[in-house]
Amino acid sequence: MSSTIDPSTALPARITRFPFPFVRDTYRYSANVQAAPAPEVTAAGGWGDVIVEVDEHYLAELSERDRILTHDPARSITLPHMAEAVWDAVLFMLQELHAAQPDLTRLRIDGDRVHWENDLCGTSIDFVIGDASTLPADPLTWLGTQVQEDICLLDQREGALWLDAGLVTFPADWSIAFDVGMSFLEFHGPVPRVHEAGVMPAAEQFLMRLTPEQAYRRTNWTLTIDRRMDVSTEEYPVWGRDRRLLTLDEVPSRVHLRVEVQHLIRLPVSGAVMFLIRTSMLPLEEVVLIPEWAQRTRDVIAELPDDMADYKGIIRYRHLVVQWLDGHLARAS
Amino acid sequence: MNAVAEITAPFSGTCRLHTSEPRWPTTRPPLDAAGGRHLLVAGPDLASTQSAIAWQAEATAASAKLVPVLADAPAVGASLAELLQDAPVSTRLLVAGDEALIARAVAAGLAGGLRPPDIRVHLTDPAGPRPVQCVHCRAITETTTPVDGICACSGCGVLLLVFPHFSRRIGAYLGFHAEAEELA
Amino acid sequence: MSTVIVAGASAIALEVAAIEDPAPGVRTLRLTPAPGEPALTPYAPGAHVEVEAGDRRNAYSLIGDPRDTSHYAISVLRCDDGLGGSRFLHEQVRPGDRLRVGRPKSAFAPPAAARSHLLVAAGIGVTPFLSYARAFARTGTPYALHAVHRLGFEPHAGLDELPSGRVTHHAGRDAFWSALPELLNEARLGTHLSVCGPPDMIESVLDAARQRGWPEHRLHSERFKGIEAPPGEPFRAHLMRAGVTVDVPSGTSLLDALLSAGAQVPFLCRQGICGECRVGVLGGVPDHHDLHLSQAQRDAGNAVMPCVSRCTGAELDLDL
Repeated sequence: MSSTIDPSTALPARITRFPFPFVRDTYRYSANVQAAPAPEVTAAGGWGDVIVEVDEHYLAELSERDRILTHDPARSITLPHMAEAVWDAVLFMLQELHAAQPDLTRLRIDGDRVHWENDLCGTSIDFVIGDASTLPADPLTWLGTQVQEDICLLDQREGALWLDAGLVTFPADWSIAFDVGMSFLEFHGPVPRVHEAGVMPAAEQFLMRLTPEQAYRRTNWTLTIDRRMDVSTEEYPVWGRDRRLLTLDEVPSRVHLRVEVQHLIRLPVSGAVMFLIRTSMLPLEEVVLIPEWAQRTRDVIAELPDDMADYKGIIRYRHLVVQWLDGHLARAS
Repeated sequence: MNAVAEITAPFSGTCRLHTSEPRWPTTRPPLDAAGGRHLLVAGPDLASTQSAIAWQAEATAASAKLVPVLADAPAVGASLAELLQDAPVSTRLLVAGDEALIARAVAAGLAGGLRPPDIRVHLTDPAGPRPVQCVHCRAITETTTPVDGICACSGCGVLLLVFPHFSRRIGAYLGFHAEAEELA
Repeated sequence: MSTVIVAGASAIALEVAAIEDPAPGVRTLRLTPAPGEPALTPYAPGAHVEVEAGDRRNAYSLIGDPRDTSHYAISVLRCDDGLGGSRFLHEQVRPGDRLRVGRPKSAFAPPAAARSHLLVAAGIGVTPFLSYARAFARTGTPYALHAVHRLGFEPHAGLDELPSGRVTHHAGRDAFWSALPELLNEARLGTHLSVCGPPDMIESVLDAARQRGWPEHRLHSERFKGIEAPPGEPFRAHLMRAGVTVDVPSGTSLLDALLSAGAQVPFLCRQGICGECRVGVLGGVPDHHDLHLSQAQRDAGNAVMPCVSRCTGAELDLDL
């Protein structure tokens, strides 16, 4: 099987820039952090050269976030002592978005005064750092109208990190409204295996030593049925049944490989740790356009131990996924 | 001991040794002798009363002040909030009772400015009621259903799985639709 | 001063834009980026920078508004019995000179969750609290700053720019000690105590707070961290399977030494966290600095994370 892609095939950016997460034929939880930004080469192209990524779903996802927040404002929450961290986040994200999209955005910072224009969504605004009344929404919620990333802000105190602010409209089966205020170890409580392996205390120690000079990133993944951004625990009664009703012939178009690129950043003034979660999804019918991805995805999902498949919510239908991928690989060889 | 069974819950695959699930002490911890003023919340049962008496003796020995919070369980949050409003830094919180009372008092203590090291609890009735928050309608239900069991939400009526994930800030376990995947 | 000495990878050259002497023996330097140097970054209140002062590298608190990136400012107390760094900054530096200054490091940031702050500073220890005060003015955080001065010494000048009612001056330690018990007893829940000054004074203030029921998590004091991770002693690594010996000089990580010798060692984070670069140890005693290996794994002594860990002796035998 060829290991390279003919450049003339002109694959869309959602495939060439897809952060394909599997670097081995098996998957286990690990801290898997690396310095960011740093270009990562994949079999289809590459990703990771910028921290804030804009893709073809930009407007659709911002509109979806707006719909979710209108329905459930609790998905954006800032505990009172996190105001300074949110301003740090606003400045950091606008600077990164401007760096990634220099032609479509304009940013001017003059003391506390910020002028921001974003042609991607038609924003033009002047606001004052520290004065929330100069923005049309609370600062964290407003920031969510400019970037596709979900944003968590962690305060560091008492020898631990505390999830004290978050705008999370696209969670993979968790709830920011429930988890806000928890320590790092508490909100990772439901994740299997990582505790025995000591992954979480080590990861927390690592995060507590972050400095503003160097950002880091890691990836996480699951499968999602349909391109549903909001698979929150809140909405489980809406999306849960799909896991039972999925059929074999629906697998290629409905099952998506869902990848979170998570950036870990020490914010300069507040000292908070910012945890960015950027979700990308690709239907399996597009994943398998890259032969290496087809084989590797099949191998990882087939081998995944039951407890991890259960936690990721795929245990009920992964046999269908493997069956379809096996069929595809047989036809392709 | 079967280590695998101990670690893995049957339903969720959740690690049971390291979750956010609280392990409230079932024996009475001593009060923090460094504290200057101890707010005391105690349930009406005998074991809680015994703990309260023992803490009172410790406070006297340490020349510290012990302030009983005289309130029914539902009013404990409001009473604590008021007492903490203008409290000195030397304030601590002592709680003896069932999990529902502990969860209320701890949440009110944290909201009032205390931190976990300032709070000592004694779970006197492990079989007593515990609070569960429905993640869908956000109502809190008090139930004697054990963790990993199923109870009805007092807000929206759905059957909730009592998940081993606890928020000290909210003062409740996470509850979510137990049969969402079976819905038509 | 025209020569520029290298000071840390991320240090930048700053120009001395202005010099003031706000109090006897105290010199304040206002520093702006020299042409062609990267822009200044905002910093956490209480952050310090390392400044090349002649042949010394001294750490000084940044005393400005943490979000103001137009300039940095430091205050230098002249120590005639010190190692010469402060004397250099007082005697040798003129406006227009360039100084190598490291990136701000946060080792004494105010606790964000505090509802109000009780700040105690002795002498020049007031400098980290000047940036606190400017940050608190922006966020509206309540604070009370108690500045203790030696008898006959004038207070640091920046203090009179702070809002009245926030700062209390104590002339001499005795005056302060008699005021302290009431301050500690009167403070309301949610207050945090931060102390900056000589070590004996810090301990005395913290002890007084503990005796009055202040829990440990509300107590903070300024401790400058080491300038940087020690470069470590040189040692030799034997790649037992390859039959190759690699010298690991001081200041070079074992991982870098292995990689430049052509060894195939996978790695990711270079911070001792991810576990990717784990190498088996066949002989010698590793000096572990990673966060990946458990205590039991360390005790077994048969693995090392070469990105951050070194060797306790002169030789380490590796399974490579």
